[in-house]
Amino acid sequence: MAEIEFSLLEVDLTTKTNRVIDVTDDVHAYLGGNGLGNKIIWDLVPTGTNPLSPENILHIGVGPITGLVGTKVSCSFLSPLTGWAGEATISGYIGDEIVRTHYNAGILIRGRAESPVYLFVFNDQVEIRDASFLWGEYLVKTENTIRDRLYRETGMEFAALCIGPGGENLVRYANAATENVHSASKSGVGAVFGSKNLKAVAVKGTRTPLYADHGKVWELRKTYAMHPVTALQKNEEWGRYGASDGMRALLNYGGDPIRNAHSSWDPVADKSDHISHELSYRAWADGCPGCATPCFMPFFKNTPYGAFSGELRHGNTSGLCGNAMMGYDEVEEINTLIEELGVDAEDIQGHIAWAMDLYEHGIITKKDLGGIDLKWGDRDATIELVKKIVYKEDRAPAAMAEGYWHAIGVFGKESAWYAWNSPSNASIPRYDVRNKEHGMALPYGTRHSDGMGLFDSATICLFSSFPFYAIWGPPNEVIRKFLNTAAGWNLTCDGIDHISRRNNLLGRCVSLREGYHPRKDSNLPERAFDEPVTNKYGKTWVWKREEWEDEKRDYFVKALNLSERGLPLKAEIERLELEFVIPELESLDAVE
Amino acid sequence: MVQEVVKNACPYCEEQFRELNALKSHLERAHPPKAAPPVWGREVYPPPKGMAFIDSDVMKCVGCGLCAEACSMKHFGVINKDFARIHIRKFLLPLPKAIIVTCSQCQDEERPCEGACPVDPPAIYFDKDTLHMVVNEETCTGCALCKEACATEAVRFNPDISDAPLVCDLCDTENNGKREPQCVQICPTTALYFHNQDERGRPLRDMSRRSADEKAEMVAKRLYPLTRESIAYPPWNPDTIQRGSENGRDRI
Repeated sequence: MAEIEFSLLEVDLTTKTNRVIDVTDDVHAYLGGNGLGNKIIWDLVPTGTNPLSPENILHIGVGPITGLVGTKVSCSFLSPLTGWAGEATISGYIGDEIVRTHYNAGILIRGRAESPVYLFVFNDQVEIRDASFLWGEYLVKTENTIRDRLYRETGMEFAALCIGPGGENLVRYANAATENVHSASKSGVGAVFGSKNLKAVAVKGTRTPLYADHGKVWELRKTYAMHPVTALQKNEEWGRYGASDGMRALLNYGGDPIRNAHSSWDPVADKSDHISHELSYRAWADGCPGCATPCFMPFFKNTPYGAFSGELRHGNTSGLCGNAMMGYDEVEEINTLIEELGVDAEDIQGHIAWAMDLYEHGIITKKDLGGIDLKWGDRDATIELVKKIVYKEDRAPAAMAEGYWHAIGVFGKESAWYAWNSPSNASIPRYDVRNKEHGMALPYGTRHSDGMGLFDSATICLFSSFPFYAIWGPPNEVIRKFLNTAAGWNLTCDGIDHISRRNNLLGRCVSLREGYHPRKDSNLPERAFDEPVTNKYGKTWVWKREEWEDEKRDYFVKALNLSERGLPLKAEIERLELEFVIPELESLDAVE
Repeated sequence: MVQEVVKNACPYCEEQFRELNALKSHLERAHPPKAAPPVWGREVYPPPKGMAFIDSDVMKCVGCGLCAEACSMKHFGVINKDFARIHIRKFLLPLPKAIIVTCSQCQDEERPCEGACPVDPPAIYFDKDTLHMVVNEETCTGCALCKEACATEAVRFNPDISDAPLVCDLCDTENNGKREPQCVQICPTTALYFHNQDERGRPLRDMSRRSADEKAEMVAKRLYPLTRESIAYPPWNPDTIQRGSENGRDRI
């Protein structure tokens, strides 16, 4: 079986040059996506770089199996929210197009353009084009304009990853989106686009993907697409309800925060679930290339005061339901605006609920909000607030556009108790960390970045992967099988475990280098210890401090192979062949 | 009269046994189990005989592109959507909507690609024996007039793989009448089906012969009673409301 080579397209916006780099060895060690991205950050970005400066990089990463079964792209950069390792994942056609340009290790963007530009990649034709006429435009118009122009020029349908006003105004949790419904949200990737004056990346590839053996890859795909388990997933679960599937159970059993996490159950939760979404507003199903269990259920809603369209997913865009005392009816309308403005729905929705809470307790006033009477569940007030945050108007919204850490500094210490944010400065609008049934407290509380080690390095989709486990076995085995088939490698089970742990640890090392330290940055929000919540059926949840410390220590040692303090162990670093990180981490006292 | 109940009768032949074990060993010996077909479901349905073509249910299509990949795999042995005879176009209405483009194997009276071919006899033609379109690669000049003639955009060219047009042959690559469309088999949402044209004696295929643009327009109309522009820019932005009225289109 012939082994394939991996090349990375490097574009420097400052010097307007590009070149292709062979990164085959790095892909063997780190796969693609976030694993390779973190390695590039470690090598190219100087310690202590301001994430919004031209020295930061943006790696739009794909890997050997992107587009094989489901398509994901994992962007890596230093996060404007925290300054640590940043990661944002996006699905949709863009990954497939990048792979088919034969830049199968992704696109690396460096420097900063003088004026707004967009990047044009059509097979090996790479151009940096003027985008001044698009600056300030909403997301959908940006993407439609670019796609229209390029269709007229080349006769091809391009995939375009664009930012909206949120990214341009450097809102710290801005996103980059494609096809109206897919969004690379976390860690403020849109602000990195904006800081580089990069409005969009438009990609089209028409070449044959580089697989070691097309016949074997096709067998894999055919097995997946025609398997009864896939059909079940398609017809009964995600393929019918999208990612809102299972939301009703979460709401009833106290899985989701309500009223800015002051509560775990409220009758308002009945206003939003997958059934009401399906029956009221779902337009059709839409999927990514190669995925037989499409989970995007775009909605359309025509009302006397306007038409609204977008997509609702539990955990991403439906974070206002309950948490801001709303139902799907209101959230759909607010969400259309959030998507057009290009900010992470999850983060801004957490901020909105926080603002409502602060307003109720008199910590911010009507004057701070520029005259908005921000009552719980008020749709019109929320829409005003969203616009003010994105355009950074007035004291409170402008502070919130910079994330929790900055806003707490502006509002004063008493506002910190009401903030419901993870240590990585992101909102937690879904999955209440006090609920010990779904076990999201440990991942949230020990988080430094949004990268998911193996999944984001292999760029495999978490949502399309459920049938895989029934067909091929546990995640590591699935990814091993895919990689060996697609790239012609001979990875063993130990080998895949090695890569998985290496990528997890490297991401943590990047964050440690940039100022993350588990001593100060691995905690739950204060209220997780102070304020018990009760679910619909009377079960109460709260963390005791000693209990949390014990659980955290266990998680660090047993799950993440770190020391009890949450720092990497020298022996483990050497075992995973990451020796190059030791000198820098030793000087920071961040290795044991 | 007491009817005698025979407990251990062989279901396949006349023999009877006193012991169950004897029946079991007889079954194993005389009637060995036949291997079950290694299929999941859709392939066991026999494809229609006679005139038939691949039709699509646009609203079921999710745009996964597996059909196009199945096509390129069958014809060229590689996975590349751009080598396929069936293709997916992705529209933003502004909601993403995939529209499948298939060849409807037009009836004799309306077959523009065959009529446009400058070669005599036409290099792209409908084979009356095997009942699907065929391209004669030896006489084809690659002039692409057939592509221009087809309003459905079902005739495609890709210089990377072939100079001759790519047009749906119902996966009868040898042109010997063995038709088994791979795209229909793989489609996970059953949006594609092998449509029997003789079934109701209606030879016309005008409905499925619309172009992808036209179909997208119809989907957009059905969902959006407003104009496309007004959807793309939601009306809570005052700037766009002004811009909209300049175009002479008022918003609700």
